[in-house]
Amino acid sequence: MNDQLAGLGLLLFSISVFVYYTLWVIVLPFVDSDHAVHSYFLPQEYAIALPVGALVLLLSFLLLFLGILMVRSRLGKKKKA
Amino acid sequence: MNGGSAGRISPHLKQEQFLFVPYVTWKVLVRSSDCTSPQGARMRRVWTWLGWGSAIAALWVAALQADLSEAQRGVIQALPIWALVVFGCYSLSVVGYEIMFFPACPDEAEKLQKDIRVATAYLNKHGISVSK
Repeated sequence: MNDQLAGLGLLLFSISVFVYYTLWVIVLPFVDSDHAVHSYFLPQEYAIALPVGALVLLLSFLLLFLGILMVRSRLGKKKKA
Repeated sequence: MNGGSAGRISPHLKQEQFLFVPYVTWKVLVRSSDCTSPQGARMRRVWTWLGWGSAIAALWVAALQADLSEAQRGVIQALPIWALVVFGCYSLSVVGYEIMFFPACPDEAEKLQKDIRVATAYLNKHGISVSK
């Protein structure tokens, strides 16, 4: 039951991110800039900056994790020898 | 492009009809890999993906060259990052869907636990210590 709830949460989260991001990037530039809808979205620059920043963070954490694993395995081998 | 002979590369073919050159090259590359061997099948997949990727990239570049309004140009420039975000969302939703409908067998798990208890008790009774 808990797994199903987690899966449903992931599914709903990804669908809502898709809908929000598509509206933000593809539909919003064609709406007049003084329309009230614009108050629900960040400025257009963040539509590029946020995904790129998230990607950089993700990649750096991944590489950091990989590096820590490699250093640890090297240290373990030295201790055994 | 509208049939005037000035913009033509050849007297027989229109400019856009020369798209057959990259298309035939790609088709030959895809077909030339022997799909009975795993390596050939892999090369076939590689050429297929490269072909689709370069076709989409060419369309994107062509759209950037077109005479567009400010808003349209901005949207087209943001399309690659949008595609990246959509791919991430798709991957996440596939993971969520698979977690949601992952087959669980609680009855079988209960039976297995019971079997383990019975076997552990039997072995302990006959002097074999089984760590839990």
